[in-house]
Amino acid sequence: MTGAGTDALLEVEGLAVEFATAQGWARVVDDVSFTIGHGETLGLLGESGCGKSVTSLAVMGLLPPRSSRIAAGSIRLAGRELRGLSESQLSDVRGNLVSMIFQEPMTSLDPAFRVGEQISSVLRRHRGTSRSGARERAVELLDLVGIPDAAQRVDDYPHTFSGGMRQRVMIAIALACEPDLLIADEPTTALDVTVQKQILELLADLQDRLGMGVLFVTHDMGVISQISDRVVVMYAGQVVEQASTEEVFWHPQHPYTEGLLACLPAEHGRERLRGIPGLVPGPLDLPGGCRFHPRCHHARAGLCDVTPPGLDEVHSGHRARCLLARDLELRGIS
Amino acid sequence: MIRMVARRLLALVPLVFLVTLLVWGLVLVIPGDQALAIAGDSATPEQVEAIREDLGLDDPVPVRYGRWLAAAVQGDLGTSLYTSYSVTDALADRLPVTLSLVFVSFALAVVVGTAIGMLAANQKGRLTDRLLTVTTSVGLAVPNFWLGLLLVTFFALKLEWFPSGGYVPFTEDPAGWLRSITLPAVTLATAVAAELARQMRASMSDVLERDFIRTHRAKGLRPATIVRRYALKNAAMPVITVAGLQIARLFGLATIVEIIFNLNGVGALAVDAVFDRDIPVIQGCVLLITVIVLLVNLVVDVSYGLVNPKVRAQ
Repeated sequence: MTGAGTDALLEVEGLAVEFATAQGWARVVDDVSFTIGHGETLGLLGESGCGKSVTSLAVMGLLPPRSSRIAAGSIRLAGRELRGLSESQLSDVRGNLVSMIFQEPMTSLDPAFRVGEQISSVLRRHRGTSRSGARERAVELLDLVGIPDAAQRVDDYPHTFSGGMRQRVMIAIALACEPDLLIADEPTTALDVTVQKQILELLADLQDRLGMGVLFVTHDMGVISQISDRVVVMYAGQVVEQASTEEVFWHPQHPYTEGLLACLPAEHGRERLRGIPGLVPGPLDLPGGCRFHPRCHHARAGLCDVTPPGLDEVHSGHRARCLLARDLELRGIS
Repeated sequence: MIRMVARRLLALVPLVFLVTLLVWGLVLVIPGDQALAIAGDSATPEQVEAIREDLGLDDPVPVRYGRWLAAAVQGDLGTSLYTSYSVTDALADRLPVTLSLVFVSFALAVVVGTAIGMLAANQKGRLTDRLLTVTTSVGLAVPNFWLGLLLVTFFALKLEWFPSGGYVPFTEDPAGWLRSITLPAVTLATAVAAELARQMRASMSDVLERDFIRTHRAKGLRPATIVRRYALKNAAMPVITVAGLQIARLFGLATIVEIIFNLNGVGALAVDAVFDRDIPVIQGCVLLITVIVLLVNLVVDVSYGLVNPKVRAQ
């Protein structure tokens, strides 16, 4: 049963993820919905602990099996429900139709195996490629992600690669089976700014060539503005704003997004960097009403601390979880 | 790789030299007069003096050591004071027994210990893990002479599956060899298997938490492949070091097991020699075991390099 008329690549609907704690199950992702079209890049934005990585791991089916569970919702890939698939069915999807690259390139590659082996193992697993065929393809892939002397480097071990080069190897592994969807979880956070730019350019270029959809998870507004078509902003486990990248940057409709934008250093500004006061609440001590109200300087007593807001459409294609969205004049970037 | 082995072999030379000094030094430290020991209680002082002359015991210490070392380098470790057999021949006779025992035990301990450790790490915190942890604690705590007697009583005397003692050379009867070595090897392997299981459990559960395991899962590799191929190679690195030390321990523990199972190995020979104050035999046994342990450590270091690419590169 697919949604009538949808041709979305990935549809996440009403996703709720819970983790086991001493006080019972804590809901760390609550009612999260978004879609990604073929060839589209969706930016998933939020501070540490807002649930963005958990959301992406849920899509991959990589949540820790005993200490976490998907409590509600559905995850459909090209119309096929992934929630409830067995581990073995999921492993047929992972690395094949959906791939993932991670935040820590220094530790994400296996130190005991040659990079060529780590790439060709995916091909042998999903494509049944022969050993020599997979090796040839590994060289091609290393070349594709811009590793010089790929034919020699294929036999090297990860410790001989720099952080940026290791992330390129990770990308080669992820793209080996030409997946429909690539999930990139903070892929540039651990890298130098110059290397960061190269990796972003590489991802954008490969996406153009291969036409895959990308879920780009980050806390970095600057990175989001460069790479994504649409943005989903998460706060305390919920989606608080969802719109095209331009809309979010020029006309934010949620005070949290406004706060994040204010954290960006202005191009020629001498203004001091601003932050958002306070911390993201943990899943076990969420405030009543709007989850953001204790940190929001627009919050109205008697309203925001009482009524939980829904994720409503403010105008076409632009949703925000704020009771005051229609009343507030929020500042985007100028 | 070959250069590394050559360099390590070269480094063994001064070490072995040092060992010969210590081994030979035994003569000077052990109380009692060798000549008197050989001559017996009823000998006249002249007879004792003749024996002393004969053995060159009155020469200066460096000369005596030099004479011994020159002979040892040529494979002559002297003559037993009691049986007048050549020590080298006695060792050559006994060595296959000890080597069979130690290496079969070691292989058994590695296979069983690794399997238990991997299983426990995979089931960490669950019932299987807890049962295996209790089992390995018992394995570590049981004294091997007691375990040996227990195995003999049950499997040799009651069920009569295995002989209760004695050694059948492999070249004579391979099946008989295996039967004669099984109970001693199990006895000797138990403590080491338990130790390796604990090390493997710790190492494997650490490896399974690492980021690259998540990468392998994200690639869609099957859980069994991830554990057996990728995690095992990573987890093996610290365990190999421990395993190397265990081989030295096995040679020590083998002595007791050889006596329990009436195996005429180097350990049993050494014990007899100690009771008899048969110094050339003691020297020969200690020197042989030391050299074997040093060589085994070299093999361990080389195999460590095989699994750890960072070591190999140096």
